[in-house]
Amino acid sequence: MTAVIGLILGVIIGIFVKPDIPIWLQPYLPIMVVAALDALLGAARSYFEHSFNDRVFVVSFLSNVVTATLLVLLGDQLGVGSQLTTAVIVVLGIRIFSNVSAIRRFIFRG
Amino acid sequence: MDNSFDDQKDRVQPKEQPSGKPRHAEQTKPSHRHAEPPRESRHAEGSPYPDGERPARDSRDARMARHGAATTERSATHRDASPSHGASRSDETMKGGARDAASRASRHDAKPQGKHEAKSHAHEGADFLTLDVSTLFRRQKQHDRRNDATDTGSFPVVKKRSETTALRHSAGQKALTSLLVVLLCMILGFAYVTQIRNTSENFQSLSEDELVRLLDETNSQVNKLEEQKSELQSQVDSITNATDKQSELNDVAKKNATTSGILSGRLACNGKGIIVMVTENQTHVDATRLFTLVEELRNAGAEAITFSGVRIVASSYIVDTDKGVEVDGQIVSQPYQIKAIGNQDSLTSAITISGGIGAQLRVRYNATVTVTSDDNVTIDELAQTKDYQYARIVE
Repeated sequence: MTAVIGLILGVIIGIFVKPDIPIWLQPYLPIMVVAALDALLGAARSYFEHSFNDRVFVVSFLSNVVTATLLVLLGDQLGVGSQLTTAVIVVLGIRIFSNVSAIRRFIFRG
Repeated sequence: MDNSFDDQKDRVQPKEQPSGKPRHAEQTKPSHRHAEPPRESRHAEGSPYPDGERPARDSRDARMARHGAATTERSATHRDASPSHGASRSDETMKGGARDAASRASRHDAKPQGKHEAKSHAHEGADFLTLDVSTLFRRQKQHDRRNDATDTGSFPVVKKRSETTALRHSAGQKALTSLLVVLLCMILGFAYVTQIRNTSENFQSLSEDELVRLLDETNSQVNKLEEQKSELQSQVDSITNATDKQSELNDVAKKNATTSGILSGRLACNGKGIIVMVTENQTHVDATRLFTLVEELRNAGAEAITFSGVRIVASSYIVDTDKGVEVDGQIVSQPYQIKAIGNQDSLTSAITISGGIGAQLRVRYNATVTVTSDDNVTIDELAQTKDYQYARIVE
């Protein structure tokens, strides 16, 4: 519930405050968003499985974002930034899909 | 990363299992601990387990130790089919799959506890008899599940801390974590919206191919515009040239008109020049002499000449008549005043040169000839326009 409230709050703030993203952050922001989304869906899944732990969620959220960003940063420095970005997106996408399917199984019982 | 979520799922499994039937890896460990408590610390330090597996389990070790006897019995039950100790070990290692590291470790550690193992063998037969079929079935099922495990062992499996640790959180910590959750979700929503806005606004997020395509398009557009520009420029040039030519022609025509106007006596003019006065004294001066005077002025470069108020042009004539000297049909009387515009020195010397027309007039006709230079000789007499009867302008 708190997560949903936070999400809505963030979206509203984002709509009203029009922030200027620093250029160095621009290639990493989409990755960060996807990684955070993955963490959020993982949390939702664990919530449905009655094993949600807010502390685990916070840590996983942060570590997800940081790891994804660092991977892309590393890729940029090695000259394979776009490929590594794709790889990270694919992996996170797979995780998101599996999380969503687990949630779906809990909601629809099948 | 957050494999912990996978583990949260895994955690459901132990719940389903009956207590006192821990997982395979735990089976042998407690037994050895039971036998040799001092080894435990060393084992924990140089753990061959994948990261995190062992420490997470350590919290349960104390609990597990209590089940020591029971678990030893069970591990013995597993081996009951094979008479050889080593064979059953290797069999288990193969079956263990994901947990082979654990079993390897346990095998290594189990060697010194042969006495204990032997003791458990003694219990074996009785235990097998006392267990009912359903328990055996369940155990087999559990065993099968373990064999079917798809874990490769390449990924670190982090065990979630037991419920007790989670419960130890104080109310303040809980509030803090939920606040953090809200904050993080807020950041996510914020970043999401920001990214959406950002993507739709600039080229930063476009891929290399898209940028190249855009660049190509822009380049071709630029080329097209350049072509148009040069085309229009050439049009402008030609028009400007035409206008220039026209104005040049106009200028030339105007100049020509001026020149020919002066020459033909159509235009009044003024400028530097001389005025010659010829006064007769008794002797009549022949018209031919006067005409010579005019011709001398022309030769000296006079641009415009009047003879006693008559403009001298190309077709002018001077003749003697009964009434006097006639210039272009007009009778003029003496003294004759001849005005000429041109180089003053040339004109003056043309008249006053020794043996020239001035001297002749003076010597032969006893006439008085005076030449005065004037910086502003005005000739405003105009020649009458002539109707050309034969000459036609060539177009």
